[in-house]
Amino acid sequence: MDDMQGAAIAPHSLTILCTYQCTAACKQCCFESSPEVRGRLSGEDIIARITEARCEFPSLKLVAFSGGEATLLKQALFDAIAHATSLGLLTRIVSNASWGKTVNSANRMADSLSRSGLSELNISTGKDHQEWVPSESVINAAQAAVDRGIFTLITVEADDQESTCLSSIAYDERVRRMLKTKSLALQSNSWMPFRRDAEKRVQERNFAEMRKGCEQIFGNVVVTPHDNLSACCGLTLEHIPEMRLGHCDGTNMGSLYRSQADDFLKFWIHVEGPYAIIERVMGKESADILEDVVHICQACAIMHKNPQIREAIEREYLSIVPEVMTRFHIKRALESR
Amino acid sequence: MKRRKFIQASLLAGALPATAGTERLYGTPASLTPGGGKVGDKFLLPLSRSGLPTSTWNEFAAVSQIIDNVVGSKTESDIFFKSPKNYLRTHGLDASDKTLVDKSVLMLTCLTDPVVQESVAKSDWDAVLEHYRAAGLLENRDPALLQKQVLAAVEESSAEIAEIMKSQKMVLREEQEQFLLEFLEQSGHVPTEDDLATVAQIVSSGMASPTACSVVTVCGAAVTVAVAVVVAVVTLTLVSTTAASYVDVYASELVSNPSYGMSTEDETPFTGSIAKLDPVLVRNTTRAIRMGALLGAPGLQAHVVKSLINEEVRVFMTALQKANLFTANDEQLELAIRAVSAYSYRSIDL
Repeated sequence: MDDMQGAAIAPHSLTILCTYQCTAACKQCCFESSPEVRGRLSGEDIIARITEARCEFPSLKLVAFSGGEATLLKQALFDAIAHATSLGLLTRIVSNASWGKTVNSANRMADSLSRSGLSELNISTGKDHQEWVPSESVINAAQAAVDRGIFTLITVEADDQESTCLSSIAYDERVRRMLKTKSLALQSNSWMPFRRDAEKRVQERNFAEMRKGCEQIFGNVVVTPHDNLSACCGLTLEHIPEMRLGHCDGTNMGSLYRSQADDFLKFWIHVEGPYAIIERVMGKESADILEDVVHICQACAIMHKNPQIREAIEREYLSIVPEVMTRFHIKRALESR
Repeated sequence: MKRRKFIQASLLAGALPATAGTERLYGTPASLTPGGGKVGDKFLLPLSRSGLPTSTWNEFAAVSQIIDNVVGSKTESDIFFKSPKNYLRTHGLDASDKTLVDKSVLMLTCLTDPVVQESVAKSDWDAVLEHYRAAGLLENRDPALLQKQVLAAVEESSAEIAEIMKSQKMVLREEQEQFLLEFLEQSGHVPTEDDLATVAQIVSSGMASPTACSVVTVCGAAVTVAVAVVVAVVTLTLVSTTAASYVDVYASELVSNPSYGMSTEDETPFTGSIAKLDPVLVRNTTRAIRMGALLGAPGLQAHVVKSLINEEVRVFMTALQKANLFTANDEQLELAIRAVSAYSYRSIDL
């Protein structure tokens, strides 16, 4: 039975969280990354994990490098991007663009990224980020990447009432020029708090999005800086022990990934999403539980940690297995056509 | 359960409080523990202990084949459409209400619907989409909501947009100018010499408009001039509604993909910028395009994308009009929307 379900899942993305260390120390960082935090993968391990993933998962198309700040790995990162490219995979790095402090520094990094074959650059910025990395660095980095033919996406976390992070980037002349040439995309992303003292942000709760199934589960496989394999790359992945599939030993990535196939909760999260699961099992009580929840990963952490929700899930899940598994397999069958 | 009580319960369940005021909401992340720390008992729901009979697992494994049969065989297709519930049950699958209204099952139902198949054969795409709507595959939506959001975004940034319009100086690129003139002729509004002279003046002089207004005002001007101005504004600033984002960056409530960055596989197959403000529109478009792929009907996909572009152009230009960034009567506005839409279709080879 395990084998049958294992055969039904296949990742399209491998995410390498290169390091927890970061050039910034954002107040609400999901990993609490900072210059002081340690924990990183060696260049050799990264290359070995990419090779292993390529062999284990024929469905794989993309390797994303994130962190922490992935560019802190310097040559090890460039080598890993080149290796993934040589295996026919698309590559992406997620960065805070601190290397774009000057036009020269931005160009130097972009040269290296371009030479290694990088397909896409994602820059994360916003109010918290800009306490450490100014928008000028973000724009320098984006311009340098775009100039070298690297498609770039700038993601701005949702602003608070006073913040002008989004508009200051959007109105920038260089940004507008890049947007017009379609070499740059700009989006504002939803933002979630990790500490009680977080300020409110301007963001409408998008219930339809939050009630969707989670494509990260099964679609992505993640290697953390501790060389653990994770089932998702969500914001709360390091807060949810259930997302950790095990420690990589260089030969076990496939079996660790497929071990999820015996966990019905993963299928349920994939099909219905944690927000809808909480609503389903908690009924009217879910309104209070989900009050202020703005992000699917937030709902996932709550679902895994709240004892009442866990009890309700355990009580009800057996009756739901046939429905969720039927829906999963029909969805998968249509997707594969 | 009240929120305060719930948070307390969550904290008791494993979170370690940090200093007062900066208390963590979801516990200490494993990133701070060497090696990630040890994981205790995980909350897992083993399928191997679900008690389902082996035959059920065999049926799940055969779903792909079942779907192939439904899509590929007229006989199976007819049986499925007659009663999806019975069909799923016959094959040992769940047929509860939740499953029957699952979007994947609705897709199958629409694929097997003889009336839809007939409309597809006739390339009657509006009828196909209407069927999808009636079947529940496409969600009901209120187009006024998107208009309201775009208008709010434009109004909030009207000064900046006006500034951009002025700075662009309304200079048409050669291909835009050519397209505009061809379109005007094809629209039955044969440009008069005066009209063309005015258009030429706009293009060659680099002035925003023949009036003294700082923005774009065409009060009293000929329809062709209205179109010229609007095409210039929109094509210079929006370029193509399906590609370069303009309005969306001014909107403070953008809805973005919560999967933060996985843009190759799990994003929608189009990049409509304004449409992203309306998640229902995004979902409907995505599903309709997916249905086009499953049906092998590129005509349906093109129709859906054109409709999307047309709606984006409409809400954007109507917002410009309502924000007093563009003045035109209803007839001028409609013609301008058609012109800009047509230009956008061409810019992405539709």
